[in-house]
Amino acid sequence: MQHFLSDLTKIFRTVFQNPLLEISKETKAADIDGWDSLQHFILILSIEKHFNIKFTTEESRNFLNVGQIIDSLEKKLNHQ
Amino acid sequence: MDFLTLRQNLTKDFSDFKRIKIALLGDSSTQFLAQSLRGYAYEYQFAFELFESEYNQVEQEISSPNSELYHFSPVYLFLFLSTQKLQKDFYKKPGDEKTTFAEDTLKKIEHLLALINAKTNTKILLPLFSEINDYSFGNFATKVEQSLIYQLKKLNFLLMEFAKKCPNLFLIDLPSLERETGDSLTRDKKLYISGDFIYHIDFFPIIAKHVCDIIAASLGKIKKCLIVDLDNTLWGGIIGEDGIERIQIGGLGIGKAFTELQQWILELKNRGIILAVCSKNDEDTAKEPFQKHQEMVLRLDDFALFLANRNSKAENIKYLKSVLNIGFDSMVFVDDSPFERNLVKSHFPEICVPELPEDPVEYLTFLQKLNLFETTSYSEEDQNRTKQYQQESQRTASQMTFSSEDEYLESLEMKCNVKPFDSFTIPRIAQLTQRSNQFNLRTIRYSESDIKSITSSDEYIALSFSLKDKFGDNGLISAVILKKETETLFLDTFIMSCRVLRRGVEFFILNQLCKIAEEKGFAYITGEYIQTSKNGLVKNLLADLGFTQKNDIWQLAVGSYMPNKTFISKD
Repeated sequence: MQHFLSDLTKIFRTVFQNPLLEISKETKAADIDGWDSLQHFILILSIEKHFNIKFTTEESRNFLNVGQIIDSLEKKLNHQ
Repeated sequence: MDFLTLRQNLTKDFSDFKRIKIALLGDSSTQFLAQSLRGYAYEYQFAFELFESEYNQVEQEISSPNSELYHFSPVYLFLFLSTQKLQKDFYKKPGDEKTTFAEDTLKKIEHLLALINAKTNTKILLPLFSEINDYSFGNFATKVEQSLIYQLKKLNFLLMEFAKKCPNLFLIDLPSLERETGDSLTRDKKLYISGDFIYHIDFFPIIAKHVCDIIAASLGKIKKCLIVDLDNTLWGGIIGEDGIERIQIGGLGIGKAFTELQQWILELKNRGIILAVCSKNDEDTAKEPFQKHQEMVLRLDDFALFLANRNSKAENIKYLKSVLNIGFDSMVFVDDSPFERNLVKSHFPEICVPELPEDPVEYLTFLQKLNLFETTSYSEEDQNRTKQYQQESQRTASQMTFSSEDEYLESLEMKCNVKPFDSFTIPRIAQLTQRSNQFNLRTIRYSESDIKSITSSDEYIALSFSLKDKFGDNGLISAVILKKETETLFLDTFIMSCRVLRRGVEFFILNQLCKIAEEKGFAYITGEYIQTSKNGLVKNLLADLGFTQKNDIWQLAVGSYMPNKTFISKD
């Protein structure tokens, strides 16, 4: 879990072009400058590339916060 | 380059780069494409001023005479139409209308382009449509006119036929890009369904690269010369050690890879790229395979210059530049040795030096995918270029035998043909305005359609000059466009191919211009020098020709002009 969060922090920093960005499980779109629908696409694609997994389209549209992304990652990576 | 890497370019400093107005009109989401275009521009030292239409407003922007598009007045218009939208229309059509879908769609596109051309003078970039087979007929679709893939392939072919007649329309061969990239990296259904992006996010940079390639070519930034190494580049092995029987070309070892590379290089030569050899070898040894090996594709007379010696490659390239008279930025240097590549790169950072893959069987595809030889024109003359450069080296050799410059020029028996622009010469003239960097007074680039309208306009006198001598025909080597003003003819364009420098052509041309000015009752010829980083050659041209300076304008009084001495007779 901690491992996911630190990887995700790196990805978020790249996508939102902010090297100081900190995130937690509770972080949601409204908390981050520039997290709009376009950046959301880029974010999802970057996470998929990094972990070499695919979210379903439905899933990726419905993530409400970072915690839900981590939950989904845990499920997908533990099943492999 | 992937999208995120490319996006980092957006925060860099573009302030010294050439500003270019480009409009992007798409019938799908274009935000990632717009960012890719801006980002890729950095790699070409362009700063795009980009107009991006609202989502799916192509027809509205084009049809409404007062649209923002026309206010913006773009120099380039990228019409990003998608197969996905066509597909939707196609499925709605009854069967018999499906069979004419390609023609009907072409008509719609022709109509859009006509509207654009009526309103503004812009170069239009249009991708060919993705050739999607929906497999409703399986492979049999290739024989069924009512099938989607049949109509899409037909439409693309019709578009190519149509584009031949439209000098300001440039098609992007998108289906080839998709094929090279592979479907999984070309499309992303998630992005398409949720955001109406028709491509994978990392495919937009690839499209952007090709848009930049076309724009660069239209601005005269083109590669003119390919310099190749021999050992392990044009054949496998080392001729000096392995000998002619053991080098890999044709049937031997992985020779097929080198044969195919040579075939491609020959195609480049046939379309007008100058070839040169630059190899650390003894000349005789290096030439032997070209003369004696049955399976060599390239032969000695395919090369304008053959430099095989023990000098450093940097020295050889410097020499090559002095003979061919072209800029370093128009050269490509291909060599398997990282040492030589680095040496050339460090001496001449402007030369394009592809970092070849390790395995020679990958060379060809790798080089092809770089799309180094983009062009926006092609004329008959291109095919003869190598011969002309070879004749030039014969001239250089004969020059040594004369004691004076005049004697040499006289011996050439030069004849020059002078005539107004016509339909045969227009493509070559447009190309000259786009390619000439050095002997170019004002460096105004004209497209074929621009040259056409200048030719038919009463406001201009436009002349082309073709030169031949006892060694051969140089073809059309100069163009002059004079704009009529009261009493005065203004040198809007005065360009000359660098192949014929130092032959006194400029004096011959001025003699002709003055005669014409006098006949038509103009008292003055005026001119202007607009400095660029490359046209220092003509900085003093107007002074040398006898013009006198008044502010930034140079003037010559036709009445008191004494014809200059030349060794060129009118043909």
